[in-house]
Amino acid sequence: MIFLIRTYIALKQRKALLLCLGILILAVSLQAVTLSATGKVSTDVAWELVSASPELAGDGPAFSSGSLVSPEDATMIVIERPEIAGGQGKDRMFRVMATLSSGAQISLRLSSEPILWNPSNKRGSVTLLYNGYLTLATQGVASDFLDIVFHPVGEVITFYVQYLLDPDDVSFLGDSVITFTVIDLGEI
Amino acid sequence: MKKFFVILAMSILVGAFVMAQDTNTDTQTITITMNEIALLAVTGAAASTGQTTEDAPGVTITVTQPELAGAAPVVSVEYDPTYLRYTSLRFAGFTRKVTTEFDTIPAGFKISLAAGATDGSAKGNVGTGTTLEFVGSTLSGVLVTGIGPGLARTGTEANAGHPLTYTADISETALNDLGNDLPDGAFLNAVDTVILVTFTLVDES
Repeated sequence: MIFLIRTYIALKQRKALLLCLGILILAVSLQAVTLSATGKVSTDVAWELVSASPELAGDGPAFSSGSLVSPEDATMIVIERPEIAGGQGKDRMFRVMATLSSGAQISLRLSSEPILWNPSNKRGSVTLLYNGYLTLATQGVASDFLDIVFHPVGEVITFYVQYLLDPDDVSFLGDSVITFTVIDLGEI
Repeated sequence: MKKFFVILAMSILVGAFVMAQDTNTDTQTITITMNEIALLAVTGAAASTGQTTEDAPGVTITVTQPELAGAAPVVSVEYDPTYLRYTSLRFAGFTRKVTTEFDTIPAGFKISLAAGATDGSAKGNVGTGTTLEFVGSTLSGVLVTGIGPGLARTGTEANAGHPLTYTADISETALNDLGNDLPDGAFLNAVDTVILVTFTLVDES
């Protein structure tokens, strides 16, 4: 409590206030493009799949969901590009990559759910970097998923990811953890 | 001193602010709950359909008289194509095997059973078949080894699975004991013995 009171008193001083503002401005200017992935099941979990024994010997495992394809909106990805000084007036490209951090091989693709832009009247473009599904087979290896071009002032894009599992590739028990990363490829 | 407190406090606050922000990376978890599977069937060449694999046709081993007097009895083995099919899912690098057990062998008989290689219908780490000989007190053996780790399935299509081959032979001197265990009067013109062969998918390692 004493610490907070002292801080409050100090903040009333002009020099200290300017210093604080300076630190805040520095922190904001360091902020880069951001990505958040939110699961359908929970914030962290996109899809749950439980296997069961098949009816016929020789057949593949049966799955509780009845399908090895996840819901279209299994993962919602939001990418926000902050306004960048000097970037206004020019398009800017960003690449989204996916990495199998742990678990069984899994494939994914951009869902057919609508892509949302904010502001909605400043739409950019999305280019897929795979055919059909992007298969993540090797742990720790980043694969190119898609490119996004933000038109000037087009700042936020929201899209969904759908997953596909091949039961014949499942060789161990556990969760598949996928890391999505977005990188700035610069102005185009 | 006051300035120091201010700088310290704001550094902590700003640090927390920066740490709480989204970054250019995030993770998603796909929860896959796999249960171990051990399923086995012996069936004919047809594809498996429905909810249960159709039982395999029987095998008939017959000893008949030769054409020429003085020659050895003729042993014939008749059966339709038979396949061993399974689905095995085991974790942590462990494997399974298929054991085979005859409940009896008639005196003087030697029956061989061979499991061949699976065809292109198979998925995963299917096992390797071998040839077993059942004779005398040797009534069991390991027919297929190295099933797994992970998923191993033979497939359910026509001709899928390990093809099974039966052969039989007799020991002429051992035939002296054939029918010794039958009660008086039961041994007339022929001795019919029904053999039950049991295949089991069990843990190997």
